[in-house]
Amino acid sequence: MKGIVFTEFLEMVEAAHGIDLAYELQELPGLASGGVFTAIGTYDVEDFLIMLELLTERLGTSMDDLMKGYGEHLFGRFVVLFPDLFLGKTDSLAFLASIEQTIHAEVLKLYPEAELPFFDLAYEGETLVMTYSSKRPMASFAEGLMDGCLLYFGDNRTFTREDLDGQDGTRAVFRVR
Amino acid sequence: MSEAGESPDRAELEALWLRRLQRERAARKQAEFLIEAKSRELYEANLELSAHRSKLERLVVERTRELEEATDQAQAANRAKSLFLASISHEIRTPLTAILGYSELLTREAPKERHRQGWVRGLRSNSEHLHSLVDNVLDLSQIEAGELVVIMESADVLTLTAEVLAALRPMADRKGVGLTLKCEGPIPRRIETDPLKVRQVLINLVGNAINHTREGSVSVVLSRLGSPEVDRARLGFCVLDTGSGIPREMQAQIFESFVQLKKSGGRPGQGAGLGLSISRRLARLLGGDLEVESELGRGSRFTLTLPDEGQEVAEVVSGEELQDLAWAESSPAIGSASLLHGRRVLVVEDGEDNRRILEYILGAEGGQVRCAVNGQLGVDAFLEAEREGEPFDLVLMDMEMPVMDGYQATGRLGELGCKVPIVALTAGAMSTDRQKCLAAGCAAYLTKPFSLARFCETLNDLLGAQEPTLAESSSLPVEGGRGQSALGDQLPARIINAYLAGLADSAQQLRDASARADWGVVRRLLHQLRGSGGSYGYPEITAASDRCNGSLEDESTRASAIEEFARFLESY
Repeated sequence: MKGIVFTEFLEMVEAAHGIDLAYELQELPGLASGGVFTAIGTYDVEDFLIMLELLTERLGTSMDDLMKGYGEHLFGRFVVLFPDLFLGKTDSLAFLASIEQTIHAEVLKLYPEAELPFFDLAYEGETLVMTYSSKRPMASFAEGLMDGCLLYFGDNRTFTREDLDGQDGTRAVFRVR
Repeated sequence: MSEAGESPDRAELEALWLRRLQRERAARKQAEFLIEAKSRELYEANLELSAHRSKLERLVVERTRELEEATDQAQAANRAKSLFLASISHEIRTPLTAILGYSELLTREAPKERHRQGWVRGLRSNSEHLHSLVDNVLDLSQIEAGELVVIMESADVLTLTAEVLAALRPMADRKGVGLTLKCEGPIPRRIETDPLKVRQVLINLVGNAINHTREGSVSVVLSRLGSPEVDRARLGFCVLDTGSGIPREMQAQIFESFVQLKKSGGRPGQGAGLGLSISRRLARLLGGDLEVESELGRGSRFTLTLPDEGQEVAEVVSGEELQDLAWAESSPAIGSASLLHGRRVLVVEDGEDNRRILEYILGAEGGQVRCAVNGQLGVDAFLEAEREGEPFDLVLMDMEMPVMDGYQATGRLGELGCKVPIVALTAGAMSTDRQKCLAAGCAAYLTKPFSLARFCETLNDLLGAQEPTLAESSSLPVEGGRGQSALGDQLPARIINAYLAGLADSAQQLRDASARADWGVVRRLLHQLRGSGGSYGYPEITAASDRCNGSLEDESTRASAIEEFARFLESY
C-alpha cells in the first residue's frame, strides 16, 4: 500500500489523539516496516491493519468505523494535496466514474508498481454501480473515501453499499445516485 | 528534583525520543533513497529516449535518402519513357506523313500513270514500314514487361536458316547483293529453341546486312563455338557482310533502342533503330546472345549464339546437302497457299469488307468459301454443312462480333465436338490476346491486318500436318517472312472498287448511328473500317478510324469527329 496512506493516517491520529499515541502505533512489534514510513514508499498493508487493531482497542471503536472515518478524512487531504485532480470537476458521480481513467492513471504514472483497488463500473438507469474488488478487506475504507467525495462535492447524491463474497470486505457493490 | 529521582524518567524519555529521532532519520533516508532511485530511473529513461530519438533521426535520414533515390529512379524512368514516346512518335509520324501526303495527292488529282505508280509504291513502302514499326514497338514493350512468351521446341537449324535466306533473297536480288549459306565443321541438326524468335532475329540481321551492303555479298555461317567438351557448347549463326562497317564508338550503342547508323550520305537508315535492340533481347531470352565485330569500310559480323547442350552433332556435307538447301532457298520458303485447293473454309466475320477480301483471297487459292456475319450464324453454318455431309476443313473466326463473339462461337463449336481447326483473327496484338484465343479453343491466331504470308504459314502448320498436298503453282505471289503488309495491290480492281464504293454507305451508317447516339454501333463500324482499311491497303482509313474512335470519349467533339471521318470516307 502506498506510503501516503500510512503517513496521513499517523498525522490524523497525532492531530486527534496526540503524538504519543501516534508514536505508540509506530513502535508496535510485528510491523514489517519497523514503523518507518514515508509518503513516497510502499509498505505492507498488514502494517496498516496492525496499527488499526491497536487503535480500535484504545478508542473502543469498530474496525469498520475507523476505516470509514479515515477514508473520509483522507479524501479531504487529497483535495488539499492534489488540487489538479479536482480542477473543473463539479459532479461527484462523474468524478467517481472517472477514477480508473484519471486518478488511478495518475497514480500509476508516479508509481507503476502500485497495486490499486479495481472498480468495475456500470449504470442501472441513472444509478452508477461501482463494484469494488481488492486483495485487501478494505471496502469500508472505500466507503469512507466515497463519503468524503460526496461531502466535498456537496451535490446531494447518496449511495448504498452491498457486501459480496462472504462479506469479508474484499468485494462490495456501491450504488451511487 | 533529585538526581536519582529524575534519572530513570529522564533516561527513559531520552531513549524514547532517541528512538523517535532515529525513526524519523530512517524515514528521511528512506525517502532520499527512493527519490534518488526515482531520479536514476528518470535519467535512464531519458537516455533511452534520446537514444531512440537519435535512432529515429538516423532512420529519417536513411529513409529520405532512399526516397530520393527512388524518386531519381522514377524520374529517370519517366524521362526514358518520354524519350521513348518522343522517338516513337517521331518514327510513326515520318511514314504517316508520307502516307497522308501520297493519299492526298491520289485523291485530289488525276495523276499520270507514271506518277500514280510511284505514289502507290510510296504508300505501300511507308505502310509496310509503319506496320513493322508497330510490330517492333509491341515486341519491345512485351519484352520489357516480361510478357513475351518463348515456346521452346526442337527446330531444324538448316531449314530455319534457309527459309530466312529464301525470304530475303528477293530483297538481295533487287540490290544485286549475293546471299550465301555455309557450314563450318560439324553442327547439331536440331536445337531446342523458339524457331519463330530465331527467325525474327535472323531476318533482322540478314535484312540489316543486305541494307548496309552496296556491293558484295552477305553470308550466313553456321558453326559450333567452343570445344564440345565444354558444358556450355553454343551454336553460332554468323551474319557477315561486306558493307560499310560500324565505327568502333557506335558498336556498343547499336543494341540500344532508337539508335541507328546513318547511311552513307548522312541519311539515316530505314527502321526505328529497334531491330537490334529487340534481337539482342530475344537472343538473351533464348539463353544466348548477340554480338558484333566490325571494321569500318570492310564490313560487319553479327554473331547470334544459342545454347545447344546435349544435341547430337553431325557434319554437314558441304556439297550435296547445301545444294539441296540452295534449291530449298529458291523455292517458296513458306508452305504453298494451294494447300487450300478444294478445301471448304468457313469465314465468320462481321465486317463486310474483311469478309469480301477473305472470300476473294481464299477463293483465288482454290478454297470453297462460305461466310457468316456473326458467331451464331457461323455455328449454324457449321452445323448445316455437317448435316449436308460437306463439312468444313477450316474456320476463320473474327473474335469481336455482335450477337455472338468469336470466343463464344469457338467455345460453342468445341462443345459440339468440332475437330476442325479454328483460326482466330483479331486486331489485338498483345500476347494476352493470343492466350485468350488459344484458351477459347482456337488452333492458331492471326492478327489483322490479314497477311497472306502469315496465313500460309499457319495453314501449312494446320492443314499441311493433316494431309500433305502436292504443291501446285500458286496464282498469287507468295511472300515469305514476317511483317508482310496487307494485300491491297494484289487484289483485282473490281474488289477494291467495291470496297471503295461501300465506304459512302459506311459513312452514312456512321452518321445515322451518331444521330441515334448509338455508340455501340459507331464503335463496331469504326472497328470494321479499321480492319478493312489495312487489309485493302488503305492504312490511312485505319489511322482515321483510330483517331475517330479515340475522340468518342469526348461528348463535345464526337459528333463533329464522326462527321469529319464520314466526309473523309466519302472522298474515296
